[in-house]
Amino acid sequence: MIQITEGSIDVSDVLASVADQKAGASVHFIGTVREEPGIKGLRYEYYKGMTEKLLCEIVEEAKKRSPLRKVSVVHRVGWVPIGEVSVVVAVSSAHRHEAFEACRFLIEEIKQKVPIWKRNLPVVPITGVILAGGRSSRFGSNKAFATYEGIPLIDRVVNVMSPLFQKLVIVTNNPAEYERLHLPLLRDLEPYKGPLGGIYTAFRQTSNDTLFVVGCDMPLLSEEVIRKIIEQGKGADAAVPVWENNREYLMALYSRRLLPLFGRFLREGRLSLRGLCGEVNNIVWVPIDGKLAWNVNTEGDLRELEATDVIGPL
Amino acid sequence: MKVRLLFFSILRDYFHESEKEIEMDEPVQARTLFLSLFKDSRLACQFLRSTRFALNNEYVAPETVIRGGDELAFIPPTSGG
Repeated sequence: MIQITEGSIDVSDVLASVADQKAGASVHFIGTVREEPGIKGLRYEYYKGMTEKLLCEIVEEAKKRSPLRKVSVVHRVGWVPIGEVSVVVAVSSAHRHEAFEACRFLIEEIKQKVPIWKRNLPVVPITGVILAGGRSSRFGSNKAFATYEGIPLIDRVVNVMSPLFQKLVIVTNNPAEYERLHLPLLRDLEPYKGPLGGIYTAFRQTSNDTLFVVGCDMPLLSEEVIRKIIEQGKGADAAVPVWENNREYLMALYSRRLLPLFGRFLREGRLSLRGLCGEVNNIVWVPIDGKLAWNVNTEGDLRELEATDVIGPL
Repeated sequence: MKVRLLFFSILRDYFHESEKEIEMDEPVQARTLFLSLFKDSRLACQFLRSTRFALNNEYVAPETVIRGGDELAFIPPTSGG
């Protein structure tokens, strides 16, 4: 078993995969993300095209060096919280000596050669807000749980956002659906008032002066673009990305100074974020690559996106 | 001719992007191409010392010639595990 996975590793599965009647020994290396001051976990970045190929080459090399029965390597990528397993190497052989040696060889080679990087970037002192309150009327079912490359959209967004923000919350009308994500869930104070109501809820139920708000339907959301918007939006009342003739109000930064304006819009029954931002003087428009803000409206959008070659590391 | 460049880890942070496509007039060594991306030549040399090159998913020497259609990745010191 040689695998790169974005989800958690089932360690017992990996260990079972090297079981062999002719093996008298099996040796396992299990790497976990350890606790260190100021971090919530690590993000593993990797070079998709090359990583699996190199892992296979390293395993072949280990087999050439000594007689082994079975070898498995599983590496997790993306966001890995403290205490969770990032890598498992399992080797079985007739006698213990070869298994010990091969296991050591494998993990050292992996660290040295395989294009995977631990990232521990500073956490920004802002609250991240994921809006998952929509009815996804065009989509038919809850968009948050539609999958892109096998992973629910909401999980992708959480994976990108978790390492970045001091605090991350989800605003939703259906908290029960999101419990498994272990994040604070804010019930929409203004149900079905769209994103404007969701942001209002987040301001009312969190204490941070600045919120970074995203929708739950952006399969290509990236850490860089979020950092760029935050960086350029310093001191502004709002920072919204722009490209060509588009603006994305749901990948944007909003200051608590706008809370009265949100309140007024809701009272007046005006639910357009675009309209609201039109009344903000101190707003920064941040040019970005529009691809990264691409959001999905139909299941077909997702399948089409999977079929095109959108490259780029996690 | 077009070449696709990939940036990871510290290089990705430095250039604020993970990939880009460039247009070249003639084949050029991977190292030369890498150095030409920097404005600050001292910094470029520093990065060069710790960067490996991967051409179409294969580690190659810095002198390797890059041609149209190639994918060239710059690989900073890895830290998997």
